[in-house]
Amino acid sequence: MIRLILAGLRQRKLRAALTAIAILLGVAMVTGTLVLTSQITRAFDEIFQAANSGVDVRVSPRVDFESGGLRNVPTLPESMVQQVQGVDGVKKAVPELAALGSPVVNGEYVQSTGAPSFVFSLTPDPFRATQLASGSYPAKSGQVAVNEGLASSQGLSIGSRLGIATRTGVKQVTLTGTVTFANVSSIGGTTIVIATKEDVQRWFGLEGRVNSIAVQAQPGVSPQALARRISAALPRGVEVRTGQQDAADQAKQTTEAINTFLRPALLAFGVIALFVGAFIIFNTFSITVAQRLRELGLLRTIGASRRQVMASVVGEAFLIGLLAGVIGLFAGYGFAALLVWVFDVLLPGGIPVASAELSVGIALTALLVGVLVSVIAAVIPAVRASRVPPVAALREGAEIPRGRLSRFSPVFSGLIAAVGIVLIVLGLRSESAATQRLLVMAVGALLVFIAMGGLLRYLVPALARAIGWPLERLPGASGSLARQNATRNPARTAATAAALMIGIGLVAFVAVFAQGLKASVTGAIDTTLRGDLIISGKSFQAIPQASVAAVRATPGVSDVVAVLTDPARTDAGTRTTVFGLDPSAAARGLAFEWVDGSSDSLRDLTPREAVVEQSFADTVGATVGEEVRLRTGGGGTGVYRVAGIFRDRILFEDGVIVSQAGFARAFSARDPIFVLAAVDPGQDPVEVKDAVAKALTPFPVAEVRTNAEYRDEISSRVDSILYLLYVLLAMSVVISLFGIVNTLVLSITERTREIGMLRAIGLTRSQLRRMVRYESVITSGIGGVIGIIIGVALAWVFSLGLEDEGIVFRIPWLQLLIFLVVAVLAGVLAAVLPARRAAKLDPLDALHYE
Amino acid sequence: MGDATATNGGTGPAVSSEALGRRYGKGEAAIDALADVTIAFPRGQFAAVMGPSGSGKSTLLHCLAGLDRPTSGAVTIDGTPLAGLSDRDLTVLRRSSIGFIFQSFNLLPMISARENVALPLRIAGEGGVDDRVDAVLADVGLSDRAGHRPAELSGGQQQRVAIARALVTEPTVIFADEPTGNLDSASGQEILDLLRRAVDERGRTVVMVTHDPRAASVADRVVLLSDGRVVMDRLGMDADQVYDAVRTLDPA
Ligand SMILES: Nc1ncnc2c1ncn2[C@@H]1O[C@H](COP(=O)(O)OP(=O)(O)OP(=O)(O)O)[C@@H](O)[C@H]1O
Ligand SMILES: [Mg+2]
Repeated sequence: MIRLILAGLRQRKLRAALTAIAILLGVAMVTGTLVLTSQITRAFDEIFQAANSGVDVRVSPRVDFESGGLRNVPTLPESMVQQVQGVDGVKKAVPELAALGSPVVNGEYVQSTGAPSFVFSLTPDPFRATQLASGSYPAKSGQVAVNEGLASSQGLSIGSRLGIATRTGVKQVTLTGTVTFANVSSIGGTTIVIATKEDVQRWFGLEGRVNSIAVQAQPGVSPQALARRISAALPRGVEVRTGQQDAADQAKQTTEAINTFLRPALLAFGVIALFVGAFIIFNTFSITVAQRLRELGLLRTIGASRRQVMASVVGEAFLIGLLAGVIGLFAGYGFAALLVWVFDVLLPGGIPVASAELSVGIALTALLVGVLVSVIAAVIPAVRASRVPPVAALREGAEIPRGRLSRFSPVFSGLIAAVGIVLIVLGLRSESAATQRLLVMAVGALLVFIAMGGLLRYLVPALARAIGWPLERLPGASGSLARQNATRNPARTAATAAALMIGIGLVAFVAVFAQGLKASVTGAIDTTLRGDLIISGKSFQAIPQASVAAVRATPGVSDVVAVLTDPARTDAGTRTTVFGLDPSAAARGLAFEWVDGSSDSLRDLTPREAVVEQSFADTVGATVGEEVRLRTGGGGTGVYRVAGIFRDRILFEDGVIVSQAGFARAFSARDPIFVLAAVDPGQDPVEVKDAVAKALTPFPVAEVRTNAEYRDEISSRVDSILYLLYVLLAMSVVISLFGIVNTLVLSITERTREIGMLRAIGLTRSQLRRMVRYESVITSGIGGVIGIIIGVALAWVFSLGLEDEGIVFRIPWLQLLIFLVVAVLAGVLAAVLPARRAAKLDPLDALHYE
Repeated sequence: MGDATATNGGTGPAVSSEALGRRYGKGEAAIDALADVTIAFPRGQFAAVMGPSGSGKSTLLHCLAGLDRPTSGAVTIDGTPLAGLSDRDLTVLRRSSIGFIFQSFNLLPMISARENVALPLRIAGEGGVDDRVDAVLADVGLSDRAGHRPAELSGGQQQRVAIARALVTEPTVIFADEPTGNLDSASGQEILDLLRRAVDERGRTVVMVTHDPRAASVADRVVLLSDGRVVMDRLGMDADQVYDAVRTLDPA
């Protein structure tokens, strides 16, 4: 049997190759994801290991939950360094400071959008994570060392002058040296500035404070024992960990982010690609089984059992899957490289990536995925093949007896669709964790696509007539022949179109959804923000508090609201964001919809009061007059009486607004996340904006925009995520192209004689090519149209479910039109090879089939 | 290609060949399927081509119809020499001057009889299709079956659809390769009658390959091939004469 399968595969090389490609790309996406995420986690591991290599014990402020990264790092009093130094067994304790601050070279703010810009205080050996590449470490105030990559990309050399954007303005410094990280393959586009401790403290307003304390143990003292001793000597609210542990904890945070977000998100696209591939495998095997009726019947007449016939089909699928797994594994490394490139375009330098490694686990995954998908997709055709009766060998035009259940298939598809829709709605309505809800909804969407793939065959004739309508109007018979060819085997056309439908459907879905998201956010900006200007930090950084005064002092600015934020949790663990702002200015600048209370509730906020957003109030069951207890990331608590409940599902969703004084009672953020400014009536906002921008020159991290510009900025951020999704979904569309090619090639082989006849009675080569191309376009058009319809419908269901979150439903007509054009062009492209093969057929060969 | 007035109703032979040769393969293993065939079929003639299996009958038909390129010699259809015509020009010539009838009908299964008949006209992008299709369908006696798919028709009916398809473009020559080979004798007789009428009433030229002496006797002329050469070419033979002629050639 195996010899038979191999002979069959050899004979149909092109088909085997096209079929393998269908899953190969999916396998590549899955393995590529695994390769890439392991590259990233390894890079972070290396960085944190290097950063902690000389540290036996590290003392840092207690962090119960992440409170906004380096935007807002809790600190310790510097006096604690002496305290630690005094602990028995400590050889050396040194203060460490870390802040965010970009270099400014020749007046240009240097920052890649994706990567952080660190400013570290100089620590002595052996605590240093860096190695000198040239020059020396800063010896006194006004001197810095930077990472070598930054120096070379900016043309800096020892002695160069450069600026550092700090919390207290741009500081002019001199470069004394460049550094590298030992044993770290990549730090991405991250910039590193090393300055003296005193400079860092002064620049960032951290006089007398440190971020952490690094400790070296005396010989013979184990880090664990020393950590225990130090911990005992220090007050509560301080975290004491060994250097190893600290590195592991830091790495764990990023690894967790990658493993719980990036990896599943990317894998999802791999699964979609595999799903599309499965449709193609299913279709290809269905077609070949139908074409090999005689051969299969012959096998039965010479004594093969049904099991053996089935095994021959499954065996072929197994081999194709294995082939796809092996090649897909290697293609996966290519895909990982492609992703690195895409990320780098979208987030330049944002993600450090270690070199790729081959692991047994990844290799096995690739093979397993390839084989499983292929075999599962071939099960139904294999069962069908096993039903071929022996007489099929003898009789022309024999058919496979239909299964007992097949007449229920439309009902069955309908049921699957219903289950899918129910799952989506359940996911939308459920209160459980986001990942779980997403998973439920994704399975639901998958079922909807499967059901649609099953139902599509009943729609093919009508759709083909509609899409073929213009083609049939063209002179010559190519159009109507194409339409008739597309409809003669609706199940085949349907399965082929379904593969494309999935890709286009998801593309349409994200496009519609993103359009709604943009409309919601920009709508919220329009309705909520009464001011004219928004000042925010580049790359999600906070804006130095000192810049607020600069904005306020700018002529033409009438009113300023600076918004501080910190994450917080209730005792029950509900997450929220606390906003601290000036109540009276906020009451003027923010237009909320009030559920309970009014804008006066905001204006008159005392330090012990808060106004809360409706969804937060609903979650914790808070009403006006009651108190809410909020825990801070550093272990503190703030208690506020609810003075009003407002509704704002985008900017302040789930939030708690308190006055600045109220904020300072428990929370530690010093720098606003954004600042709203109103312009004096009668002033041109754009002119005032320019004036504000000028006033902000000492704080290049701050960017001022008019509301309209801010809206555009948000839209373009949504768009860049959208483009990433398009790239990932494009793979599915490409895979479905191979499906179309495959089906056309198979159909042409099957119709060789017909094609010969058509050529004999006067069909020219170009008419024949056109016929194939039109059939392809009709197929891809069906996939495109239905895909877009399903995508829009899914987005509609989602937006209904997320109405509470303020997500609206908007159709991006132009984009949908473009997708349709893309689908049609895909059809044209897919037809190139099959059309050429068809045209090459000698009409005589065709007649010799007689 | 020739101009329109010459293509239909010209005076020269409908189709002719000059020292036509067709060789398959190269060197030692080469087979001359046709060797030095010089033959002309005048307009309005019904010719039968006979000969043992492998004698080159189909090859001759294919070469005369411009489906196969001869390895030597020349073919002229309707006054147009085929040598040097591009694939496109050849196709267009086939479209306008030639009709085909195959042994296994070769209809498109997914469209009705009427649409099958209309196919050559639609391929050519011609107008006034409906009337002409109705007329030929009536001619072959299938008006009442026009809406049926091929699978819903008997073999004889399918072959009549194929004849209608060959007639509808009003070609100069109709080539038929064993058109009755897959039919019982009654259906075969109907087909032969239709071909006869196409010659007598419409002035078409028919070149028909057949193994059946009775079919050949319906023709005006019988051409006998053996090993790729014309070994006999006679007018007005009856069935017994044809039978004898074939038997002398083919001892099996
Ligand atoms: N494509 C080809 N390649 C090689 N040889 C061929 C090819 N086509 C035909 N021949 C050979 O040319 C010769 C004539 O074939 P042809 O099909 O014309 O015979 P025929 O008279 O039509 O036979 P039949 O009555 O069986 O249809 C045969 O010997 C055949 O083997
Ligand atoms: Mg023959």
